[in-house]
This record gives sequence, structure tokens and C-alpha cells, in this order.
Amino acid sequence: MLRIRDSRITTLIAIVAFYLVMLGLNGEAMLRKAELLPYGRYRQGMVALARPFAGVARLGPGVLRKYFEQMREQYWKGVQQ
Amino acid sequence: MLFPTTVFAVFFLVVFLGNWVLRRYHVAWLWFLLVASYVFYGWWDWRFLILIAGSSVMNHVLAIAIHRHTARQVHRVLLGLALCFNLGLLGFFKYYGFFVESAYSLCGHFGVVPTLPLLEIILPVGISFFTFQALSYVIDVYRNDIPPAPSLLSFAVYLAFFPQLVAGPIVRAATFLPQLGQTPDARPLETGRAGLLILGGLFKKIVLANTLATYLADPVFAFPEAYGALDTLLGVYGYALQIYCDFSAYSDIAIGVALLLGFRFPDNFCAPYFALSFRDFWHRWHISLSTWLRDYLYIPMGGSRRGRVRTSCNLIVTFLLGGLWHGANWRFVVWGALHGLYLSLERLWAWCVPATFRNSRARYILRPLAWIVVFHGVCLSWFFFRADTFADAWLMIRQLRDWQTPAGLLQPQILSVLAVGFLVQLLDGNRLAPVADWVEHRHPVVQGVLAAVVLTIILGLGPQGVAPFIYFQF
Repeated sequence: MLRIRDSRITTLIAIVAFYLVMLGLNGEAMLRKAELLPYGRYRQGMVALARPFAGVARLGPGVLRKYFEQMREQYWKGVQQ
Repeated sequence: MLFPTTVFAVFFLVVFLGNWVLRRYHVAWLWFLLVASYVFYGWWDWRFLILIAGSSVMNHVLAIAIHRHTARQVHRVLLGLALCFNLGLLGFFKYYGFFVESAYSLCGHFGVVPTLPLLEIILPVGISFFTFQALSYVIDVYRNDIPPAPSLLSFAVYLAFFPQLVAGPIVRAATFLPQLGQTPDARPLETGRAGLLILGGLFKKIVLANTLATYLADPVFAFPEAYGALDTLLGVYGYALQIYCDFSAYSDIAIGVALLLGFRFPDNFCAPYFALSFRDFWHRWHISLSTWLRDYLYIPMGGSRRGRVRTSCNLIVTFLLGGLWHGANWRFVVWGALHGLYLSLERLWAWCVPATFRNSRARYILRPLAWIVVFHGVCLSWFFFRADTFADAWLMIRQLRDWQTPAGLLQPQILSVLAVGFLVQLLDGNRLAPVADWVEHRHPVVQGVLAAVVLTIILGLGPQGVAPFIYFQF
């Protein structure tokens, strides 16, 4: 059984893990967005930050989102919007 | 700031850390929560921070004055001042344009031109919610149900607390203020429950509400003349489920986010479309508003204690005002009036038909029939709630006679989303407690990875882009 102090820390660990995995899963989208920013130091920084996550995403996890996106498109094919 | 965005994700991480690091330093913690809430609100338009800060100061001062003065007359004058202030604020920002336009329209019929100034007033997000919270606080202090907040800071945090600030639930001071006390809640954080509420809310919003809007409700309500009876019916079913998924999603995410910060809010929805009576429906739909209307409007007007006719009048007036609360438009008034009428007719039915008959074998027929009547009665009211104009709402109702036009929307994909939207109500309440318990017993990294995978699937399944929550406009 977790104690109160532990539950806050474990929740923080879970949140950080969640954010890191989300960054990994969405790294490519993050890189695309960063590359669209106006030229300057901010863009450089964001691109540098996004690149490793995009690399992780390309290794496999990003495929998960694409797979479900394609599944959705396939499912709604032929249905008029 | 919208919940399902990267900006909110970063904001929440900072707030989560600050909240728990500062929890033992009471005043610093309260200041931190207030600043975080103001940043959340001011992200949209910082100028309206003056409004919420002003409302906090005024209501706190009046509540203290009400509590200190024992003379009945002074008590009443102070309460009157508080009511005038709050309703005046709401009236000016939300209803000024509506009343001026209505006055012009009415005077136009008699050939008179009024000289009221036409102002373009921006509606501050969440004003209906925080004004109702402030009203309930002042009235509760007046009734001696609660003492005033221990400090202006505590009250300001109560009024501006960011998870429920812009679209509810309307949390009462009696529920919230004790949680701002010096001693933190000794219970462990319910990470599993909070996670399920947030992810479930995101699923309802991103996948169900957005899909129902994109493929069903929006097209039918945008071009009502192009659809026959069956498509119109599917369109209004779609909207009924869309607004449920959208609004209950916001409430669930708000409750989940608050839970991660150590605050417990009551549920706001409980499978409303399973209701077998209109009364039951209002015990399940937007519970924080319906109980607010009951406690501060219906019961003070006499409730059901002054005879049948007066009860019906009280119900209709309560729901007319409840409708007007939703938006400055006669369509919302009609929506409220319909619900008031339904509830009055339902009472009439209960008075006319003996309980022995209702509970006899006839119940096997009456109950499914009651479900059909209640669901379609609610759907009828949604026509006025959602349509752009009265003309459109009437046109859609008239289209229900057109069974000649072929039904283009009757497709398995659409029917399946409707079915999922209906069945997702089964998750309301605490029905997922065993799953939450299972999640809580996993390693925190596993919890985080699981949540991220589920969110990625949700993002993949939902249409592109994040549409604002429907209740932001109220």
C-alpha cells in the first residue's frame, strides 16, 4: 500500500513518464511544428529539442499514432462530411 | 487555455510540482494556486482578470458584512447588494446586447424607436459559472449554512480555481473551502481514478464529440433543408450525444485534474440518457447546475409546498431562468421552458395516475415507453438549443414529416459511433473503480507509458484539430 508521500512522488514519476513517452510518440509532429517557426534562436532551440524525440518516434512508437490515423481514415472512407 | 493542448500540458506540470512542494506553506500555497488560476484564465484575455478579481473582493467584503451584522434589515440589504452586484455583472456582460436587441425588436412592432446604446461587449469565458459560485457563497453565508471564507485569498482561490473555472462543475463553497485548510487531505492521491477521468474525458471529447459533430450534427444543423426525417432524427440524436460527450468530458477532466492536485469534486453527470423521467434526467444531467437551481431558486420560490399550480409555475420559471443562464437568446429560453413544461406535465401524470398502477405489471410497458418519451422530449429541446435560428429549429421539426427523402446518414459507421456515444454513459459514476485500482497498483513508469499509449490512440482516432468545448460559450 502506498503512503501519502509516496503517492505524490509516484504520481509525479507517472506524469513525467507520460510526458516523455508522449514526446517520443509525437516527436515527428513536434519537429515539423518547430521547423515552421520563424527563423531565429527560438526556432533553433525548438528544432534541437525536437530532433531527438523525432528520432525516437521514427524508431517505432510514432507508427502507433499513424496506424490509428490510417485506421480512422479507412473507417470513414466513403462517408460524406 | 484548452485542456487537450501542449500549452496546458506544460502549465499543468509546473502547477502539479508547485502545488505539492508548497502545500505545507499554507499562504504561499494559496498564492501559488491563485496565480496559476489567473494565468490559466488570463491566457485567453488578461483584461478580464480585473473582473474576476473585482468579483472576489466585492463578494468577500459583502459576505463578511452579512456575517458580522445581526440586524435582519441590514442582513437583507447586504444580500440585496450582493445579488444586484452579481446579477448586474452577469446582466451587463452576458445579456445587455440581448435585452437591447429585444427592446428594439419589440418597440419596432409599435413604431417606436428606443434610444438605448448598442455596445459590443465581449462575453468573458466562464462568467456564468463563477458568478453562480459567488452567488451560492453569499447566500450560504446569509443563511448561516457556512461561515465566510477565512481570508480574501482563500475566497479568491475558490472563485478562480482553474480546473472548473471556465465550464464548471459549479462547486459550492461548502465543498471547496474546507479543502483549502491548513491540514492537507491525509488520503493518498487517486492517480488511477484521476488518470481514467482525464483519459476518459479526452476520449469522449476528441473521439466521440468531435466525430459526432463532424459527420452528423454539424452538417444536419448547417443545412436542415437538405435532410429528410430520418437524417434529421439521426442529426439530433448525434447532437444529444455530442453535447453529453463534450460537456461531461470537460467535467471529468476538471474533476481528474483537481484530484491530482488533491481536491475532490462531486460528479456532474450520471448516465443522463438512461433516465426514465424528466425529473430523473435532471438528477443526472449537469448535476451541479440543477442542484444550484433547486437550492437557490426553486425552493426559495416555494418549491412544491404551495399547491399544484404554484409548483408548476415555480418549475417553469426556474427552468426559464435556467435556460436563459445558458445563453442570451430566446432559443435557450424556449429550451428551458420546454423542460419546465415537461416537469410540470410529469407531476400532473403522477397526480392523475395512481402509484399502484404505475408499479403494477403495466410497468413493463410503461418503463420502456417512459424512456422513449424522455429521450425524445430532451432531443426536441435540443433542436432549439443547437439550431442557429428559430426558423432553422422549426424547419428541422417540420422536416420530421418528410419520409420521402432518402436517408444518406444511415450508415454503419455513423450508427456505431452513436451506439458508442450512448454506451459510454455506462462509465459515469465510479463504475471503473476496479480498473483504477488495477492501474494504481502498477509501477508509476508503467502507468505513465500506458496513459501515453492510450492518449496516442485517442489522438489517432479523433478528427484533426481541437474544437473548443461547447460550454465555453456559456
